[in-house]
Amino acid sequence: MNGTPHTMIEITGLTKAFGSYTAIDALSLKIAKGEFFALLGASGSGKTTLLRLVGGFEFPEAGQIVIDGQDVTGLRPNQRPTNTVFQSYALFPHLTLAENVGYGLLNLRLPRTELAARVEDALARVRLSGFGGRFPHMVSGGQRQRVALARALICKPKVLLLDEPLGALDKRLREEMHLELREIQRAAGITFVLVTHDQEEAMSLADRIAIMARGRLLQVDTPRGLYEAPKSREVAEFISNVNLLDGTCLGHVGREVRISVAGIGDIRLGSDAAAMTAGAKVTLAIRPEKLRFVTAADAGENRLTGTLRAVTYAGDRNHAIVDVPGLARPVLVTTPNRDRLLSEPQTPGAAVTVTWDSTAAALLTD
Amino acid sequence: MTSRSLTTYAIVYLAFIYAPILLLPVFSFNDNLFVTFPLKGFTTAWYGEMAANAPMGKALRSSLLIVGPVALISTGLGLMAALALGRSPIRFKATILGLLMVPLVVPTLVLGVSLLTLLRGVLGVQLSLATVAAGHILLCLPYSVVILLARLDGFDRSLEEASLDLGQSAFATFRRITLPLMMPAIVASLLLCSVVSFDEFLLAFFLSGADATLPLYIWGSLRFPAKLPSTLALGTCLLLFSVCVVVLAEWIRRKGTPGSAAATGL
Ligand SMILES: Nc1ncnc2c1ncn2[C@@H]1O[C@H](COP(=O)(O)OP(=O)(O)OP(=O)(O)O)[C@@H](O)[C@H]1O
Ligand SMILES: [Mg+2]
Repeated sequence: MNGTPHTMIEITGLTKAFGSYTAIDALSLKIAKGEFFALLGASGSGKTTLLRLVGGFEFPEAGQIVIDGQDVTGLRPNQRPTNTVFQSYALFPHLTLAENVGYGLLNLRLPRTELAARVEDALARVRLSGFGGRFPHMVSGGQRQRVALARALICKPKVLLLDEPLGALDKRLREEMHLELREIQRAAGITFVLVTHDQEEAMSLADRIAIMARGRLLQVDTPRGLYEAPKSREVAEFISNVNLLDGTCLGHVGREVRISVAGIGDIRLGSDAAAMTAGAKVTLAIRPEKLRFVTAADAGENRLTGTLRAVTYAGDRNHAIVDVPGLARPVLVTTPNRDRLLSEPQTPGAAVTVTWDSTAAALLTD
Repeated sequence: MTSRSLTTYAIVYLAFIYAPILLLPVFSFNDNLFVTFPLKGFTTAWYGEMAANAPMGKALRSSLLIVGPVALISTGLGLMAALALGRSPIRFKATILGLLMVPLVVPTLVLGVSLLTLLRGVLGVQLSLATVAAGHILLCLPYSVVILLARLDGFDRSLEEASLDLGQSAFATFRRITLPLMMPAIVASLLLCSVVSFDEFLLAFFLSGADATLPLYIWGSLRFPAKLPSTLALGTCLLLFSVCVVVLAEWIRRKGTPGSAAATGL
């Protein structure tokens, strides 16, 4: 989180139903001033609906939305201090780019020259000087995207809502736009709420991310928090690959905790261990890159042995799949490609030993 | 092989449609009272006769008098219906749309008789050009709704949402965004309603009073062979006029919406 801890958006108990289907289910959320906030979730999880509720395009059955201290729950979009960048960009096809960008200023009834100057300034900020006279169908997708951004920003909203704004762009353009978005957000100091189902996009852009599923928030955390300390199985599995181990707590050993995992044996957990009592059922999440192959002699306390099923080469990394007798699902191991001439066990069918540090695993609490 | 036969088919098809129409100007310049081959000689006499034919001129004026109001009122009502069906959260949309389409499927004969019964028998209204116009509006409304609704469904609703989002009221959004984007369909609806009203016969037959519309006049004059050539001359003028209108409409449609290929034409 950057900026002051002052709250910009406060959502309480928000519920929205379409017919008998509850799209947003008693959802509460606080977003800070100047924060870059991302809503991440599978298709149909309610991201767009939540964004449209904040923008005033849908109205909730229950709950409240407060923006910068003002209750906006019943207000129309033109009465809210928010602006939206639509997924389809929604540029007006019968207006030039300049007219599109200046559209939000029409109500101010500015003198012609001042309006033109402000529009030109806004176009320049998204590197589109001199394009004002063109129509939307005469520019590329990336340029349209930037016009949509300029059009929304010219109104100086307190909150900018973006619904998968980069969805239609190719990968290179997306990455360029990531940098640009981040820069614009910092410079303008505006609170951004970005909807995406691209996990990398959310991770690289947002200060905090909310993981949505079935109209609820599963976890709201920093990118690092979500990745390193997922609270639930669902979040752990949604964010990249993960190995989940079910076990039983055996008791404390100094600052660590001993856990018995069927098929692996006893392992140690270094962090998050404080509140555990002996006999409790627990689930651990370990990311594949925190595991490494070792020779049987070098393995530490935390170890498992299995058979190598397959290795996939991915340039900078190798992804290995290891079958462990007694575990329902194979263990994924990602290793960095440090040596051009390989160093890891490569032959499928080989017996391998895998080890990890006792602080590598996260304890799921939900 | 297939493309050869398709080409032949297309040529025959076009000839079938346009040959009769092209006979109209040919015979309108033919120096013979009877419409038969061989052609005799060139004359513009029928055009002179047409211009001098006072009842025909009156009928033409009657038709033109109702075309404007019919087109404007049906398109206006059609626009309201389309907006309600396409943009508001009202219920029973399918039923309402179905009811609006009824005049398309009810035989015009039945419509004519029942309107006559209603206007004369029940309401006791004097038959006039106004009652003809009312009947024509009823007939044109479904065409108008279909054309306008197709256009409304054809463009992204988020355009209107974006306008609201950028501070415009619902009415300003309609004026600045919805209406300009609908314009090609509105023009198309105006033209189609004009055409439907202009050559409609059955309702006009039932609902007209003392003033005949052009189709009624032409039907009446068919009994007198001497009047046929001047009717052909009139037909030629109307043909020329409708070609101009279609060209103009197409030009407006292309000019109207840069970039949106989904414009609905006639
Ligand atoms: N206008 C509507 N009428 C009925 N159901 C709707 C409507 N809008 C959304 N829904 C339903 O609400 C649920 C959430 O939809 P929403 O568009 O918010 O999902 P999303 O998370 O944005 O998905 P995606 O990633 O595919 O865009 C979906 O099951 C959808 O079918
Ligand atoms: Mg969505």
